[in-house]
Amino acid sequence: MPAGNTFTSIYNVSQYTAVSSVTIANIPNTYTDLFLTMTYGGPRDQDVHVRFNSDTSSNYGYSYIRANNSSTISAGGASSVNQGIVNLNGGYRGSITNLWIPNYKNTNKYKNWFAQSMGWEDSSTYNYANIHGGCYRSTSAISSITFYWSNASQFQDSTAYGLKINIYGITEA
Amino acid sequence: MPVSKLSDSLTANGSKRTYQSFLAGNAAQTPDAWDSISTTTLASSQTTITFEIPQTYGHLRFHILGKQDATASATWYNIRMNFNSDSGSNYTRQYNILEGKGSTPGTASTIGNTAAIVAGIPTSHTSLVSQFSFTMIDVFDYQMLNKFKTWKAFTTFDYNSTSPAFFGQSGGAWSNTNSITSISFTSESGNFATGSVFALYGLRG
Repeated sequence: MPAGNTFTSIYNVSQYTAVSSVTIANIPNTYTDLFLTMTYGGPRDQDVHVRFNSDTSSNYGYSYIRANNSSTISAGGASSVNQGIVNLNGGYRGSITNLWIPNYKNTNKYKNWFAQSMGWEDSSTYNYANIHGGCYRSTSAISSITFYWSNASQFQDSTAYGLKINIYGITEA
Repeated sequence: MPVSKLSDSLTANGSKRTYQSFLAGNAAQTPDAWDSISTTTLASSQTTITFEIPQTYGHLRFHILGKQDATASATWYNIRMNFNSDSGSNYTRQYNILEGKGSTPGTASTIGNTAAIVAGIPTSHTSLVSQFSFTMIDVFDYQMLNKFKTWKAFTTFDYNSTSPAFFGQSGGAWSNTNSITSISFTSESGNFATGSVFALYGLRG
């Protein structure tokens, strides 16, 4: 039999004051997976990074495939760095990211994550569409998630492009 | 007497018909958009995982935390997905795979496959004890009788800490108009390892 309601809204964050990072702490360990949606604006040609449990050690690896405004597909990644990336060249005005974190509370497996993102820089030049995959090489349960920009810039403060994050918990049967 | 009724059925040409009615004075009931249908966690290695598919949803989603049971080397294998036990050459796929630092993605399109091929699962080599892959598979319109069935998948995992995380996307079709009533997963080689998790969700629509 189906388990019933499997997609539960946990947090809704709206941040209209400029901030250099945002941390979602005290994530309940009552779900199987996490799904996040983010809309935001920020500095041109900078990346949106993610850290789990405020872990700044080199426990992250990621890869990505991207398309930009010239329709070129390029790809890359990094092996042992101190953050993951969930939006490469995250955009200037309007950007979006969807982030899946399965198995986040498990304590004997590394944590994988998967993200889709789009960065819109302005109406005449840059647009990026990315898909990202990564691994957080830790068996600790994820209890907090932090997002920040690669050059320590801030998420924009305008209401038009202010940061909004919705977090959902997914429950398995 | 029920306060609401939701019934789904297929028309002769396969399009889906939804009928919803409510008794006057009762609040409308909205069913959950997602249902967790079933989850299988392996207590021991297993060759094949099969799901019987209820015919009550618009789309299906699988979340797989996968691992292969071979211990000889640190590598990875594909997952094979078969619909309705069909092992004929009726499957196609297109994929991009990244498995090296700064690499150009491996890209290919293959036809005439005997299964839908989805990357991938790391082995159980001693250097990969905590590594399981995460694969998310969507199977669309699995009940539709007037179209071939299409799917897409994303996979990510770490099978070598000196390289970026493995990352792959793929999609394909099953050249059959039958409704999908069962889906089976096998490893390209060997078995699924203990601790692998297969979760099936149904999406209404």
